Amino acid sequence: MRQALLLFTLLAFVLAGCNGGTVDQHALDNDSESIDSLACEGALLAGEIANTASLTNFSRVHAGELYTRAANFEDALSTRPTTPGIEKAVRAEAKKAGRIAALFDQLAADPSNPALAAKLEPQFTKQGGCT
Amino acid sequence: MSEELDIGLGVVDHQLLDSDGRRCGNVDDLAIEGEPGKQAEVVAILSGPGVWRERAGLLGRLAAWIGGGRRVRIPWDEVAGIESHVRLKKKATEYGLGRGDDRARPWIAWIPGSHR
Amino acid sequence: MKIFQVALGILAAIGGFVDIGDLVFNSAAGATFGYQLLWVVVIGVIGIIVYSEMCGRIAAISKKAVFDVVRERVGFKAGLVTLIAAQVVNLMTLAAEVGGVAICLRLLSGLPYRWLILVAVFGLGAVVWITSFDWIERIFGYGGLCMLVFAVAAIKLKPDWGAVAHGFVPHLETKDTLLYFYFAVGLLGAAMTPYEVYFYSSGGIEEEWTEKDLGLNRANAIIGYGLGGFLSFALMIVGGALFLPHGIGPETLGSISLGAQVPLGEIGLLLALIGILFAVGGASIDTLFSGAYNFAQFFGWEWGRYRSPAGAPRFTLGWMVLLVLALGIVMTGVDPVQLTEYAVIFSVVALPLTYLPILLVANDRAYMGRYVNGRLANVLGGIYLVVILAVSLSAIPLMLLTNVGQG
Repeated sequence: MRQALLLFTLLAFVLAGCNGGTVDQHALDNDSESIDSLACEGALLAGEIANTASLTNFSRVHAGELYTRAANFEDALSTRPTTPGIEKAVRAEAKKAGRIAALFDQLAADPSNPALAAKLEPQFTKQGGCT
Repeated sequence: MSEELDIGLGVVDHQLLDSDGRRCGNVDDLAIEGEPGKQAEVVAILSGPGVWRERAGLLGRLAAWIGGGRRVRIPWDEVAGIESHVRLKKKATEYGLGRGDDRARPWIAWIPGSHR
Repeated sequence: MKIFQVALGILAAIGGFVDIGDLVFNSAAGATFGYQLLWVVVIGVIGIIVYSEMCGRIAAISKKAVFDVVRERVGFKAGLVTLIAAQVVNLMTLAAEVGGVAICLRLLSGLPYRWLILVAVFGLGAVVWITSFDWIERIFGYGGLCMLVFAVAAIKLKPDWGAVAHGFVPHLETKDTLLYFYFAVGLLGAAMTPYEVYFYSSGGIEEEWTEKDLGLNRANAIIGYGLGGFLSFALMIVGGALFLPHGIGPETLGSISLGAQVPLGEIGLLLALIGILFAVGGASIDTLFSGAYNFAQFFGWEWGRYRSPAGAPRFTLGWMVLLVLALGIVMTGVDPVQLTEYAVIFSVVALPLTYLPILLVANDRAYMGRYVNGRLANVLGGIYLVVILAVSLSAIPLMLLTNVGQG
């Protein structure tokens, strides 16, 4: 009984943790959603900075964290193998993630600049297709 | 004690308290003497990591090894009372119980504020 | 007045309901399903109130905490398996919470993460060493009430209150059934995380409750966990009112703080960060103490903050070692939120083997005298045992089938 539980747990780790290396349509859809989410969050954050309603440290650290996530998507989607037929879409998502990362980079570098944030906000919104 | 006592549910695995109310181990097992067909009686409480070996297979042996493998035998007539804990008549040190805490104490006692 | 001494209940609830994992999970539930899962939180709150009241009563009358009772009822072998599972959950969660404290400090100060982990660990160790249990409860319990800023934020965001009310009625309005159940099971599991009762019951003994304190026990359970549930509601409503319409899936503590910042500005952000700091700090305390309590209670060592460190040396060394181990785990750079998700796997074993003994002992006249369970406690206790078993059995399959909630 104990052995079965141990095996089951190990199996759970293996299956839950690894998702292969190949990007399929399902993974692309999920990643695309996540990338858009990052952009929309960027728009919200930029909006707050533009209204001078943020704290400098928070803005810098949080923008930096979101930059890292966007950059990770860019790396992963530029280089991972894909299932046939979707490679173009995957690489396009990678480029989008890269553009979003660049926006976060600008925001993190100057986190208490309302004018800059006001300029970046619509760019985030456009990238993410946010409402 | 003249009332019936459920030693499975009411004694084994219960906390031992000494005469000062100090927690000093659990009832890890009981020593029962008697012959088949004749009166059997509980003669002692067994406590300590050495006793765990018999109680939990491989895990028990591992735990016993980590715990240092000591076993302490407390004669049954040293039991002062059994409520939700098993109370003993004398102090823990007189039985050789609670040695783990006594050995661990110097590691802590030197730090300021350790007695508050 | 003694009736206001509900800090224990609040601290246990905060550690259970709004730890780093739940903060993200509740917000994500709102961001994904809007208000549809509010009813699940209600079910969870009732369950933990029922069982906490039982544990508190057991502690007051028989002077036993949960792990005393676990070993006495399921025996040494099954008890040892439960102990190992529970301690793995405690340690993983502790590491995650310590990481969460460091993240919060970083969001407030901008200082490097790794240094702040050290600050978090030493800070926690110092607070536990220096302050009495009473003050530990008050600092983290009441400090965590800053989280109420999210309730204000939820109101300020002007959600569709009709839809919110509808969320308290069990219903399913989505095609994503599997993901819905993943969140439902996760929310229930989070509401009834075992370390809440380990901490609460041992806290009852730290407070030296007797039969005169049974009313206080009830107040702690109801007010404490009621508040915890209320905070969960607030986070989910913010998720549904702000993140869902903007297409945002919150994954970090910073993202969650936005939920208070957008409607309330800078002051909202500051209160949110402070609230989260105390909430996550409170969860660290809960899991740290639970870890030390469980070892001591299972093996029969002297235990409790009320005994002074030198009075309970192995217990004290226990929590120190746990802090150091947690430090090691967080230093590897693992994502704290992910760590709590994987801790769920081990709570699968710990859940049923923790709650069953409580129900059994609460009915045992040898322990409880005339304070055994009434019919209501038994009916609810029995129902929730079935719920716990269902949660336990479905947690891992749902994790696998939904790829840990990624869909």
